[in-house]
Amino acid sequence: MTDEELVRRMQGDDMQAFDALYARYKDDAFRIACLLTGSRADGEDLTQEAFVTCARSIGSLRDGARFRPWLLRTLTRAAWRYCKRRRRETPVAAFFETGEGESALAAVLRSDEQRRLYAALDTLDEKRRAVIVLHYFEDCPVHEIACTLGVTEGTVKSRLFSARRILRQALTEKESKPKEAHINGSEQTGAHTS
Amino acid sequence: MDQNKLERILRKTLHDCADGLQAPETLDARLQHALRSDAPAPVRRMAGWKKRVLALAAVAAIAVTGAFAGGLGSITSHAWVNQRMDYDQTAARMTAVCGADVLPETLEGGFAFRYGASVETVAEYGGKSERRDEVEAVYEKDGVQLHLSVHLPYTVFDGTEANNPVPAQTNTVSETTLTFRDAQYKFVPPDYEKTAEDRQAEADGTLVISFGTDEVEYRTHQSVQWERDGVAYLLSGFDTGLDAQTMFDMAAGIIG
Repeated sequence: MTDEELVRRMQGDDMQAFDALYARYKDDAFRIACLLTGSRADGEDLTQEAFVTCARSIGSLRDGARFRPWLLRTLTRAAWRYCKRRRRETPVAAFFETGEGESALAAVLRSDEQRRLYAALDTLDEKRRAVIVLHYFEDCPVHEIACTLGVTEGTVKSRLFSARRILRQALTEKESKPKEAHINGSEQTGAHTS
Repeated sequence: MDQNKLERILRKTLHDCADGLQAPETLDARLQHALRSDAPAPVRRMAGWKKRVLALAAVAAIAVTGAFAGGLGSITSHAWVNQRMDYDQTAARMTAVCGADVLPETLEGGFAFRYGASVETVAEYGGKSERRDEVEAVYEKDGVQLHLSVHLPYTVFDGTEANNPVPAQTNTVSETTLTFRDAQYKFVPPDYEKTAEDRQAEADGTLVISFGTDEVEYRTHQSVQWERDGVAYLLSGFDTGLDAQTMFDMAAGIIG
């Protein structure tokens, strides 16, 4: 059954249709929420909040075929609110299972370059982080991200450009100072401690 | 590092991090509980917030003139929570209140008119007060709401409120100056006492504190304001994600 049909059923108070949509998109939403927040616990909260919001305002969705981008938009807005509240103080290690910490990070991100990149990702503000996640994890084209976030394509391109510049700069700076980092005993492993 | 390599590492990093994740089974139970209970949720809460949101839109109107800074001025608004005027009623009310004849059925970006409301406001500043009738038109797209507030300009403010620290961007359309602001709001209970950090953030223009909620909550408020032909306009919404250019385009569409 298509999203459009399921949404139409939901708008007729068929909660089984909601269960089907939830089963279809829960993992996608959870993964994106975790990437946006850098935390599994908060990713779970945001996923719940997004689905509850969508369920309760399903009547306002005119094009049922757009359920997924609508869900992602709701999720992203919830993540922005979360990030502003928390000011992104969650350590990178919180993304992984509690107690595993840095070893889990190292197990998933095998190269030092990846770990440094993830640490740099964690320094991005919520809006740049959102476009990076949607573009490079979700493979969303610019126009779809613009639609999802409710901004112009120019804004999306601008955020992508500046985010890439920040990430590239972070990687390049680290690459150029390996000895210094090692001497200071603070070699970057990706465990962000801000 | 060239862009292709950066993008390749970026994709791999994000997928390595998240591809193995699955929504926990407990989430299903939590979700069902939230949906079947009266537990607070954003949309459910919005209904109760109606009166407050209208008031906050009015606060934003004064905020863009800066009178709220230092607590020198205020605008209080009142509206029936369940009030709903259709398009024709709203347009007629708008004309009656301030002579404006500019109510669009849709805004740039696909926001469609949903309903209108009549709002009474009282502005207070420098020991003076002034009553105004406003018309509020609510537009919606994919669950995101924008409020277009139209009224005669307040005269109680004397210009000393121009020191508003909230950063603004301006643009000019058809000889009309548009002013955009993206403000961070902190809603707090009536008995909340501002911290030193709150006061500093207010002074820096990075935070607007609004009293009257049950609990502390942060939201962002995007607005664009202009005056034309003796009528004041404010287009605004909470957590819209809209940037200055997008809202300038919307305002330009209203101005025509």
